[in-house]
Amino acid sequence: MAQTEENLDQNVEKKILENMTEGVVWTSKGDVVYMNDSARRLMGLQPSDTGKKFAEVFVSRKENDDFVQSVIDSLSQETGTAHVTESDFVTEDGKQMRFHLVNTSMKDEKRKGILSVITDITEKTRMQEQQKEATRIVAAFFAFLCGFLLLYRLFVDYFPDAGTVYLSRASEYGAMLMCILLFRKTFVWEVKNRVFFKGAWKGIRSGLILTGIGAALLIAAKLILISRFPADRNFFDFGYFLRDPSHFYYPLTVLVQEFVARCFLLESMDRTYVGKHSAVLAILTTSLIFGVFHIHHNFIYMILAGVLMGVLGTFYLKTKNLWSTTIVHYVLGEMIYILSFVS
Amino acid sequence: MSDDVLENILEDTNQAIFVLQPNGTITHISQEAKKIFGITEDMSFNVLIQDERNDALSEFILESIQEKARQHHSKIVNFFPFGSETPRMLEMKTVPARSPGTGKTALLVFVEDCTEREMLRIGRKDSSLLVALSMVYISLFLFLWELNVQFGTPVTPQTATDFALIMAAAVSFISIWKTSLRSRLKSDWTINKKTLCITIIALIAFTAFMIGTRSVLTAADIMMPLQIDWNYDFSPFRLLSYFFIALMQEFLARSFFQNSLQYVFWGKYSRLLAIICSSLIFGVLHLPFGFSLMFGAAALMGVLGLYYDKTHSIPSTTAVHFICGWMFMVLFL
Repeated sequence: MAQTEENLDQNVEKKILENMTEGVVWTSKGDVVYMNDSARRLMGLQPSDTGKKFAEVFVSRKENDDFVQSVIDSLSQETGTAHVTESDFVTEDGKQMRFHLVNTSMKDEKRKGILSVITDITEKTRMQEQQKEATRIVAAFFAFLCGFLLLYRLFVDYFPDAGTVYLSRASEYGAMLMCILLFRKTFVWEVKNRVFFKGAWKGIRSGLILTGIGAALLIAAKLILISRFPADRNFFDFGYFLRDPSHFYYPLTVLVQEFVARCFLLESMDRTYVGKHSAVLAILTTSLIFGVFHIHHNFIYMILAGVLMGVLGTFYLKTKNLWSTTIVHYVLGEMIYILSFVS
Repeated sequence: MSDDVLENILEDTNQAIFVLQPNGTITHISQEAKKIFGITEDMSFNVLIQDERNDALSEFILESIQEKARQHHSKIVNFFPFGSETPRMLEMKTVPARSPGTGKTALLVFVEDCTEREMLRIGRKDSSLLVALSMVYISLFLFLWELNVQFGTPVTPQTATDFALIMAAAVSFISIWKTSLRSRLKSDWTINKKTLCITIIALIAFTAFMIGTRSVLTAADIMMPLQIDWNYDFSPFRLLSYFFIALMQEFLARSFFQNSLQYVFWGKYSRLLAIICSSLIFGVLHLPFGFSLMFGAAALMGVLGLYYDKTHSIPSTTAVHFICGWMFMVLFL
């Protein structure tokens, strides 16, 4: 009878360790004596890693220094005292994890060892970080938008003859300031490599195709205008280059505008929203907001700005590359002047 | 592995783990299980199924006992932990452990409290909708106003802001319906002694401030001495309609905008950010009236936002809004 109960108890203990969602690692005399299935799954280890030296299994990656250190630190604790900490961990296949660790230094059959109970808090930490990031982005967005609208109304009421150029510059500088303030604190720092270098050729190619389509449409529109209004015979106007020197640094302006509009406004909204409609919501809201930032021109301008932002935003989210939209923006932007749509 | 080690694992784990032995007692209880279920070693499993509020747990355990041959999984949404009135969300798993000799089977119960994770997930989803709705709302209002300007302003600023109020009501209805914001709104309607005292003090302070400001402006020859126009419409209907407008505005501005933004924002400055952003949005909604009123509306919203942050009572902020609004009209307009 006593033997049966002992068997059951042993089976219970085995099953507890097997079915826990938390990882358990027992290290003794520098060897990994035991690891349950969850520990192997969480850390991307193999059953053959049990029995190996702790250093051999865990010290191979520099990124896991914190994890190793926290286990070593628990050695200095009193026997049976839990040492609680959190640390990052990179698995063998490069997966980034975040663990809550409880390391207990204890004696097992007169041997000094460390018992580690590992809880996976990767998802929780990721969600918390995303929410913090969304906080910064949304707060900056609202402050920027409302600040601009206050300024707009101030100009309308007190400086009605000042013209629209000051507000255009204010919105651009405001956006750049917001971008700089959030550069290090959010994802913008991380995406810069992707949007400039990854798939650059593919982005340029697709940008050129869209530019070709856009240019053909603009030329067709110009031809229709000339045929309907024969008085307007200026098909090309290259003289604007000399009249307005800002066109010489227009490529740089376009690049900055595209970075702010796409990498900052659109990407940040795309990350703020979750769910299957997140991309649509991001395009819709950024287009509307972009339209609002042209309130100082007129209603038609607001609509056009919103539509342009929507089209280029959709294109950007497809290519995820900044060169594609920059080419479209620059070439079509210049063509509007060359074809005398805008004087 | 020795018993000592397993004991430590049960002490250190964040999971609630316990074992239902064939004789009906509970053993191998982890620290977390003691906390959640209020159980101790060798207690009868009957203690687990006593609380009527936790019927789902009782059903799950009884079902697992009856069908000991396989593993069972379940998610319990409203579980009331031992000695607590706050419900939690649990993910449960039961695993049978059989004794090879006699076939006696113990039931291992693994419980994970996933409340925080679920709250984060729901919070992210709700935040998405709230931010999107707010942005679309503000943008549409401004687009419509600019369209109005394009046609020579046939719609007056007052009508435009009234329309904005109706739009805000529609947006808040969708938000309350679609998100978990509604659970936060219930507490906004409670009045207790503390709130009542704060309201009275605030009313006295605001009244003194307004009369003081009016007196200073009169003394400095900026405003004429006060002459109350007794022909002004003081009818009960007008009072009542103004009261309902104040109530609606307070509900939308405080319960909806400020609460939504507080829900969206995280971190130690979340409340401050919510007050600043909701004040700015409120200011923007007064764009048709001109810069001074935009600025004034934003400042007023900021002050009342701070007040609401302290009281969290819509009746209280409505009282302040109503009394101060009337006094402003009588003293300054």
